[in-house]
Amino acid sequence: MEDIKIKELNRLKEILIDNFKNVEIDVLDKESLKIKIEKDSLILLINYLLNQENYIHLSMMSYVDWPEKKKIELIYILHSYENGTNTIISIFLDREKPEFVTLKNIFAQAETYEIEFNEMIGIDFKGNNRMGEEFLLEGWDGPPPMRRDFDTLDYVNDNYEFRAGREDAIDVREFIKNMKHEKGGLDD
Amino acid sequence: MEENKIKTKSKNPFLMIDEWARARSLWLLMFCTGCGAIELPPTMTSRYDMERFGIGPAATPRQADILLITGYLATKTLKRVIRAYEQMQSPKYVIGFGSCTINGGMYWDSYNTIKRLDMYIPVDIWISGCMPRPEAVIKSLNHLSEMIDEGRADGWKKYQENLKWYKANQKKVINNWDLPEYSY
Repeated sequence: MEDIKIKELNRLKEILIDNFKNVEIDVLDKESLKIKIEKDSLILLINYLLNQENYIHLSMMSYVDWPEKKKIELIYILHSYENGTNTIISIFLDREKPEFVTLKNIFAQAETYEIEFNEMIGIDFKGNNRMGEEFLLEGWDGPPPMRRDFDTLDYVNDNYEFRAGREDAIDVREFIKNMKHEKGGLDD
Repeated sequence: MEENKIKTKSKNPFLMIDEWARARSLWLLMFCTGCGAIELPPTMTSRYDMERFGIGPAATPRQADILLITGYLATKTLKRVIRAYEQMQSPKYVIGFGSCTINGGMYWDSYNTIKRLDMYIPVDIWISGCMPRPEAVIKSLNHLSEMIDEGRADGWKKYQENLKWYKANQKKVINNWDLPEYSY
């Protein structure tokens, strides 16, 4: 069973290397193909996989923030029911002003993912007219919270208050050690 | 028989009967906010039976006595919890489950959860643990019955007296405030 999957993936890898430029492909986990591609040829690749190779199910969309490379990576995972294989497609967007085209006309569930990404990391999807809608946070006016340079502890110390600790502030492990030797304390 | 000895604070016989009856039949609102709601089905079903103490579930806030806050509260949920708390009719009691209501718990450095439940809603009983076992839940409900008997569970009175302080804390955390202004 695994040989069939790996054969299929290698066949697909040969076709894609011949026909797309600037593409890097790896075979992962014995059932997935990881593809890195330029953002201008993504729609062509998805249409090819959807119509010719039967990758009809969009499993998930995800993102990775690379502040040192000054890019944001956008990831699509497609699944095919014929062989049980996945393709993981990733493109890189500019970090200052990340924007891309919506895929809601090809896969209907991409609309909800795109609303979440707009709120959490700030990618603007053209053609989706529900950008700026409140999804997980209400009344939020700070920076997008999933970026790596957003310090959550600073934000918490500015806006919330903690309960004051005990006055003696004994270390928990020492307290438990002392309890073991007392009469009626913990048994080993 | 010591268990049936009436030890209430008030001297008026009608109020004494009221408080005696209230402590022995409590209705619990099933408002399952966080992870701790998974400890409620074992507490209610036949193994660690809760109904033998006279405590049962209620459907809506207007019919309930106890509000259980079981776990962490995002600011989005806090607005709905305040609305449910203000719809309940007094006397009403709040129990805070787990360590997220005490001091933030596992999500202490999150930008979206509240750290102390005490600043927004008056709390009568705290239960520590992540999550507490059903035996701990039942012990705390028995403790609540004793407190009601002696007249010590008066969180709802504190809310009415210090309304301005509670409202100021709530408005500081909730950004899209559109609840009406209450007064007692």
